[in-house]
Amino acid sequence: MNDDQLLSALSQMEEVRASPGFTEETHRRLAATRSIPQWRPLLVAAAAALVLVIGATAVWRQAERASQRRAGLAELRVLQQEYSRLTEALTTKGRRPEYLYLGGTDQAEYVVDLSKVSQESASQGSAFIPTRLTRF
Amino acid sequence: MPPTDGELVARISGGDKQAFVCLVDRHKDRIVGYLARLTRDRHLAEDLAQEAFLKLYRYADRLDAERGVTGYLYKIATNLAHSELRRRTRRQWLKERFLLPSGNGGPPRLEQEAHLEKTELQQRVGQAVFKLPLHYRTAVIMHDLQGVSYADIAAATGASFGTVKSRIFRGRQLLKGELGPYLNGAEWSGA
Repeated sequence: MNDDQLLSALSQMEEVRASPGFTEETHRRLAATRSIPQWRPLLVAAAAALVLVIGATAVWRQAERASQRRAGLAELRVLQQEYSRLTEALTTKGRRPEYLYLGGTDQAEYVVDLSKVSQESASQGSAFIPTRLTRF
Repeated sequence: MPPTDGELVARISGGDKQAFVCLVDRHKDRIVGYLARLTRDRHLAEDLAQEAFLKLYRYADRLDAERGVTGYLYKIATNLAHSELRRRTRRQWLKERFLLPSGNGGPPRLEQEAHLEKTELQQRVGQAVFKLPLHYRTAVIMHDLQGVSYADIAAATGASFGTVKSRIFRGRQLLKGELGPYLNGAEWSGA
């Protein structure tokens, strides 16, 4: 089968023409199609810009809030550290000293080792008697 | 003297609907005939052709009328038809794959109306043309049935000149393979 025979076979195909009402139907569809008003693209652009601005503002405010939160947490940590330091200092101050300094000379310093002082004698309010003088 | 296509397009871009009607009357048979061969469905062809004319109306102010309205119409019509045929093929495949599994595992088939051809020969040729891959079918129909030039086919399909010639050659080879046994068996003279 050569090209001429093929083209002859193709030429046997019946020609298809548009139906009689084709033009009227096309015209009807054209009339039914609403033309896009001139302000429509501007409205869409304005809406898109508005959405963009709102979104950017929301992101910016969220970032600002996060920054404030971080600053607040840092301040809180400083306050907690200060509180801990003060609490520690108060506890230290309230604790019974281990030594009582009595005085001293050029040759010696006199202290009382309170761990050696009898608890009973202290609670009974008896006269304080140093149990030992420690000489440095 | 009737107005040229360029004059009609210029009037259409100014909103002249009468010029649009004139343009539709002038080109409707050519475009409907092309789409009917491409889709093998007269109703779909007319619907797509109307859509093509409406698109031409919408974009009339951007057209270079000196290049010829026919080329633009073929291009719009081809794009619309290819999109629709691909959509239908996808839909048919999904339908056969998930809704109505036939179990034969064959390629998706398009449900077409076969009322365009009256004689057996016309039906055979119509079926053979429709069985061609879409790009081959488009090129063969435009060139061998519509008489469109290689350059216009290239412009309408977005393919190069060489690709168009190759598609027509390959399409004809496939058609010969499909129709040869029937035409030789029927001792068809080719006249």
